[in-house]
Amino acid sequence: MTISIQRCQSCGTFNYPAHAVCGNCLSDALADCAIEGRGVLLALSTVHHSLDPEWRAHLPVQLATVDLDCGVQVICFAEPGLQTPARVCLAPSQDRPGVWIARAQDA
Amino acid sequence: MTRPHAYDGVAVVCPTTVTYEKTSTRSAHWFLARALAQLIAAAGIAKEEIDGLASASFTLAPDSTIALTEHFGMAPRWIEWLPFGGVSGVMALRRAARAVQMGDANIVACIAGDTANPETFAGLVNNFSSFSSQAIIPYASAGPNGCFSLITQHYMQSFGVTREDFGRIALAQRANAATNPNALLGGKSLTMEDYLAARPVAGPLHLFDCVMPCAGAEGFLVMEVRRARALGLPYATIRGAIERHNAYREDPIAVRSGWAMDRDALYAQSGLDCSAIDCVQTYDDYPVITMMQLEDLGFCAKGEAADFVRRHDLTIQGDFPVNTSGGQLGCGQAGCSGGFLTVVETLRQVTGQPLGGQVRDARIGLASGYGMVTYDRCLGTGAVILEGAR
Ligand SMILES: [Zn+2]
Repeated sequence: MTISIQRCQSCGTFNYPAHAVCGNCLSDALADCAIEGRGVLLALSTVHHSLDPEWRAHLPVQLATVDLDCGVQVICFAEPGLQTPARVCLAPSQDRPGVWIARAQDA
Repeated sequence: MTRPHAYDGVAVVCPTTVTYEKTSTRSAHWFLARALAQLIAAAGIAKEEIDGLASASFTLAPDSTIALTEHFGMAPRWIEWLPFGGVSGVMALRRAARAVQMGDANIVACIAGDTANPETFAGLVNNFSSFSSQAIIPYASAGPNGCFSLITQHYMQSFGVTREDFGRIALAQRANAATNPNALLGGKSLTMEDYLAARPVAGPLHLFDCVMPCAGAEGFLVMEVRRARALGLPYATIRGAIERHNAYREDPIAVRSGWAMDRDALYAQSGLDCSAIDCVQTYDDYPVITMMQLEDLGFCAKGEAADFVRRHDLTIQGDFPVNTSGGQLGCGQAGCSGGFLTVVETLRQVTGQPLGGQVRDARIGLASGYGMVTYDRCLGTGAVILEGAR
């Protein structure tokens, strides 16, 4: 399973969230790059309150900060049962299109 | 780095606060206008004498400072627009001080004001930055609570901090708020039992770790010392001031911010060390951020703020008074006014003009600012040391 992160074609830096220009070298030669999404789970939080009424029926959810090996930090969902710190892998969520979920990384 | 010039000859006067309200049907323009009118009345000057205007607001759109000149019937020769939330007060003060020093303006009014109703806060959060629209809002729209709950959980785990440690800050500020008639939560006492039993919001953050959005305004005037004296106004001088944006981007999650990068410059410019500070106003959007400021501004080492708050009394009468107005946790967060509150309360304390309790013999105060979470942390930091010259 891969995820897509924007990568600079000039210097190789990954940028997340997607930038208009590379945050390292200011090049606009940017392209989406499929990666494995492996990294370290740095922080976890159970969200009980949302500003969006549509979300309220689906709470609580687990939120996480993941420091990906490619050098970017992602705030995403997390599967139950994780603890910090841990190796995790990001995958596209099955139930919610367009978002990622952190899962325990197989050794 | 070039050493910045001193702020010689500059006076900061007339701390002003427009009464906070939980919600308001009035516009941000009204709150900013009230702040300006109160400043003019407090200084005893004509509106026409104000030839510089710096403003900060999140709810003034589509207007900005330049539109306010028309609303307020002014023709200033210097304006500044600083809708930068928690760091807007320090930024306004630094810019206004240089304008006065260089003769670009004689008297600068620095004002921040916002209105509040159920729509404004959600609307603000939903349109706060391009990065958050893309990468934060799809994740349950938790607002700033989501991001800061992650920072808080990581900080607690890294340094062995407990909820009780944060509770000490919340309780001390609530006690400070009790004497401040403008503090929206000043009439409600808070015990550690209440604090710990509060409903959960996100991760380790519970109800009393979070500020209550509200409407209100804050402001002050910047002019030459000789002018302040001629007007007979109690004033403060600026011993030192710092500002930094997007510091420590290499840290994968925030455990420090720009103050750590610049505090040596702050104390060097001031000719003081932190033992000279009589009271501290931190930007208190969450207790963990107050802890970070105590560390990064040099009052204790990194990771030792919890121990620091266990060993010190943060109330107005205490040995280390923090957020003597009650802070945003006690007063409410009136949008960008929250970023002015630290500067205004410091000015109140060092010039003997508090709304609530006075820190005994306060002469030197530190005001800190922290603002603008566009993705996973706030970008802006600033701090200023003011010395009262009654
Ligand atoms: Zn690049």
